[in-house]
Amino acid sequence: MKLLLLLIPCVVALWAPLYNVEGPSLFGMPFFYWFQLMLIPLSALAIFAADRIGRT
Amino acid sequence: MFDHLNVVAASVFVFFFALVTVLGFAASRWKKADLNHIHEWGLGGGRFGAWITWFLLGGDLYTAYTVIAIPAVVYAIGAYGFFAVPYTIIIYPFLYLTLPRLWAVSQKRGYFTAGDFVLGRYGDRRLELAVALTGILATMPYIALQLVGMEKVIGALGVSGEGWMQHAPITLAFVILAVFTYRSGLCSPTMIAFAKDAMIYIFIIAAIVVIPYQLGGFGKIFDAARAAYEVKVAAKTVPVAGVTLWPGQIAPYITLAIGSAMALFMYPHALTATLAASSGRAIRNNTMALPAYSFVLGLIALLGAMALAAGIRVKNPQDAVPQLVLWAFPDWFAGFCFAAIALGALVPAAVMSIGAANTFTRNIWKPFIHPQMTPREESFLAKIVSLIVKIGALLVIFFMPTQFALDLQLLGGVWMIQIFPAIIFGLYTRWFSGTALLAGWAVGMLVGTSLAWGEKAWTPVHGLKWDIPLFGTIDTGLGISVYNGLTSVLANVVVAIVLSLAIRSTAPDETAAADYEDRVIA
Repeated sequence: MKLLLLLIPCVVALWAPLYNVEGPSLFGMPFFYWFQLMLIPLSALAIFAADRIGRT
Repeated sequence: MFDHLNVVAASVFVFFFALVTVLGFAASRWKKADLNHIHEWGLGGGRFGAWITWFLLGGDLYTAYTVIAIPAVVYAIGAYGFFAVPYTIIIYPFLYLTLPRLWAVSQKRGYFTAGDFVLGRYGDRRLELAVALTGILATMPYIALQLVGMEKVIGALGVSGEGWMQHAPITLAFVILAVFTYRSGLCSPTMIAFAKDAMIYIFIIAAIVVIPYQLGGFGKIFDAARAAYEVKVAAKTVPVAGVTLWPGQIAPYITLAIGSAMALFMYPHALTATLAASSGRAIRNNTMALPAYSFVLGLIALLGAMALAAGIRVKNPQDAVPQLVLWAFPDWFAGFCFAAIALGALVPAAVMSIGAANTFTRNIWKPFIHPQMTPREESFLAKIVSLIVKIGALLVIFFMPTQFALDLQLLGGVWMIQIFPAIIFGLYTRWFSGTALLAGWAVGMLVGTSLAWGEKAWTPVHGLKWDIPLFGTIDTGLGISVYNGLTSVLANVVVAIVLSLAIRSTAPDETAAADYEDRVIA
């Protein structure tokens, strides 16, 4: 479970065809950009969650 | 030389630079320690908690060159430059797993560098030397590029010159840097990192609010950028460019992200800043906190598109960000932003020179030239080497075309990744033998360098179709291009596996399984 939490953000981040599209855009920013930017805090949260599981 | 000087911007720039110089000297009084010991000088005594490590690593990894180069790629060809985002996403889950292990074993056995660890683990001096040389070789052009970043902003202030005078400002900045690195070791870049990081955050928050407002929102920015890319492609100034990736760019985008992530923490400067942490916990917390810098880097990348939308047309894409700053902000704030970028060059340059100096002293000079060194002699030599490395970087800037430094830095990543198997696999298993890893390293260096070789210029990616001299052509038929670092490290690993099967290692391993665990199980 812990490893899975660490793996998921990596797989999504590397799956470029998944997000290599213009729409839907957010505040005028194409999907390609805002999706990857949003993924950064989500990946940090995933590490945080994995860390919590690892500690108990 | 000051005919076109922007007086207001330059004054603010000089003010912040002076402020930081004071900070640098204050560092020698901070965390009082015996700097005649290399552990104190080169690793800050290993006493940096989570917060300090955050500033230091952030300042060290997200460099001035990055702030200039990543948006330059977005400016030149668009979406492809955003590879920095997946690159910095995948790196932290990986570091979360591996770095605390490296930290723990280093703490337990007194290792300072990757070479130290390799020697202890595999008992192989040749492999230690290979790891050390790779680190030094890859670091030199990287330091030189920090200077390029600095020259770009100084140039934008309106300072110009001929011949030697052209490089006078960065020479001065480097002398200041050299003096306080010499005096206070890793503490001085750490102290500067606090100021520099705060300034970068202010700069980027202002940029991301003010510039889109001036340009009428992100919708307009990307529309203008799209039009600019279409013009470039139509005029054939670049083969491909766009707001999203072209089909042929997808495989390079993914593999460049993976390969860059694998290479980054093999660099001496990244390991130096990590091993200076006070605990494995400090490192783990940082893998959750450092993505804040990645987010800022993603925003910085967008500046490339904004520069296009603002109508900035520069011949060298690396001038795009400095010109955008001048276009968007009043002079005093432009001076502030430029100071932030220039200081962003000093921190990594200092840590890189310390990392290279530690490596040279511990893994080349001590074992091969003078084994009976005292800690005091070690510390003294490391200080001297840190000066030599900086002078070397200055000479690179003076005498080498910038393009060549860029190419070398690109090759540096391909070289650095070749020590990945020895270090990272070594954290989990001693199944590989030193000889096999050394052979794998040599094959990887050769393959990586030859793949990068091009008729006109060095290239980072290569199709999966190879013309091998005296052998013929191998074509995988996949029709995609892959980052050379990744292709060559795969060759490296295959060789290491095959040879490890053939030759079993009998060399001693001074580490024990428990050395890699930093958690005390109550």
